[in-house]
Amino acid sequence: MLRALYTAATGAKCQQVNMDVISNNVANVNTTGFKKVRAEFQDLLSQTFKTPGTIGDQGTTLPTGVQVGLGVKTTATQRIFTPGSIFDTGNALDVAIEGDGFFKVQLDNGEFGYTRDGSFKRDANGQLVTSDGFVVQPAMTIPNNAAEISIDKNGTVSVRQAGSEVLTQVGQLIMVKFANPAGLIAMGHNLHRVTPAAGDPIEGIATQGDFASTMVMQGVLESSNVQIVEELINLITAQRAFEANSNVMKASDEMLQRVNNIV
Amino acid sequence: MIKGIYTAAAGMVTQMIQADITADNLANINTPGFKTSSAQFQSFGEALISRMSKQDGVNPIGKTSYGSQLYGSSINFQAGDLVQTGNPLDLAIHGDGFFVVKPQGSTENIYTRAGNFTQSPEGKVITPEGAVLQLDKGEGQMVDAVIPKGARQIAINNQGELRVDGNLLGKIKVAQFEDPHALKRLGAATFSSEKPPLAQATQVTLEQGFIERSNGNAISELVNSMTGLRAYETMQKSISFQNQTLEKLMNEVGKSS
Repeated sequence: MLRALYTAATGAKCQQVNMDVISNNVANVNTTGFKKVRAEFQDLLSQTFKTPGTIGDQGTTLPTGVQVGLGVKTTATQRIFTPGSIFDTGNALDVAIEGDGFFKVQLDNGEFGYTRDGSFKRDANGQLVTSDGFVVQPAMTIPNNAAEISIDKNGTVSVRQAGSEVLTQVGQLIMVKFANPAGLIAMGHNLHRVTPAAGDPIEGIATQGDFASTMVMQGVLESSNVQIVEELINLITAQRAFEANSNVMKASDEMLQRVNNIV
Repeated sequence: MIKGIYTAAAGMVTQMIQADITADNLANINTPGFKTSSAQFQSFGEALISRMSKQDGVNPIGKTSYGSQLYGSSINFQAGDLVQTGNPLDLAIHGDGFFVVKPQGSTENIYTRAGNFTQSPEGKVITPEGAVLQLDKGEGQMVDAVIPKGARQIAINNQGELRVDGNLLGKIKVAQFEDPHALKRLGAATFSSEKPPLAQATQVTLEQGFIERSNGNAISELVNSMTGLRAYETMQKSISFQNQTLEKLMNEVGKSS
């Protein structure tokens, strides 16, 4: 009935989505490699009663028209790829990427996933895997009697056997980057999958070529890039916006009630 | 005038139906896999109004409608939110499609999005109403999902492969339809279909330990309630006015004194 009622409902629904995005960011404040998300909104189409610039009744051009907007919609949830802070764990198989890039892992259906979470482990066969057991690419096996595992800034994984002084290379971590990392689709499990929006994966080695400003660091992990203060402020604005929209809904309802009670 | 009262009454009846549907949607706001329905209304067929005059006889002067009626109710198949429960037999479909379940004592399959399965005493994977989850055996053959006794670990991966203690039992069948709106609602979250599901289904992922909640949005239903109430009130006022006019007609027009 009153357009305002429906418009305010779209506003309230968008603030619900905003709250969902904020709460996901806050829930993942301690998730390794998590990248925060920001919800973006767009106004809906407007109903035009008089087009600006048309000739009016007096024969003159109208400087403004009459347009009433119909509300708001969620247009994007943009993932923000700023770096998270690095913290020391001391684990030989924990790695973090400084700069652009993702680790590449192979999923159980043969496709590839990309992640910033470098908390790698060894499976029963000694292969380097993620916490879910997905094999880190390229597949590399750490032998059982490794006294020391060294991962240098190029991502080269070398092993020193017990009783030997020599470091032998067992593999080199592949780095992948995308023209539009925000176009990747999040799969959960700290993994992302490629989509046509992200562009083709560009593979390489850290510190070389496309990845000249990227470094792999051993013994540390990258925490999430969520800023709690920023999220709490967004929470306050979302809550107040929701309140304001619900006030508009209440006012529209009261106006309708008055119309019905005119006599 | 009396025509107007019936028109307004028809409008009130449709608003009551809308209120019933809204109440149903709200009552099921926590039912897993529930899909809201929305009512569709249309006006009655138009009727010709004629004017009788001495010179020209009966002349049609235009058309009017006699109110609104329920045209149908359509089901909204938007996905609900996924909630993590941690139960190994809770499943959610991430994408289009339905679980295929066979009710007890029936040969026809029915379809549902609600993934809150449990085990029967015989070990069958069943819905709360007792329908058994169907596994895909290939070439359109389907078989009941039965968990052997003494199973310690039930694992279902993203492709829907059901493994018990590491042994593959089968792949959970996900049915997709060309026209989901042709499905008929049977219970709170179950549907039946006259046409069989598509032979080629697009890839969907299954999440174990998650349940899909109802896709009802409290704000939308509230707005429907508010507008429904105000429309109902307006029509009630309209009936009241027409009644007063009729009363004037009966009691005052043509009164000689």
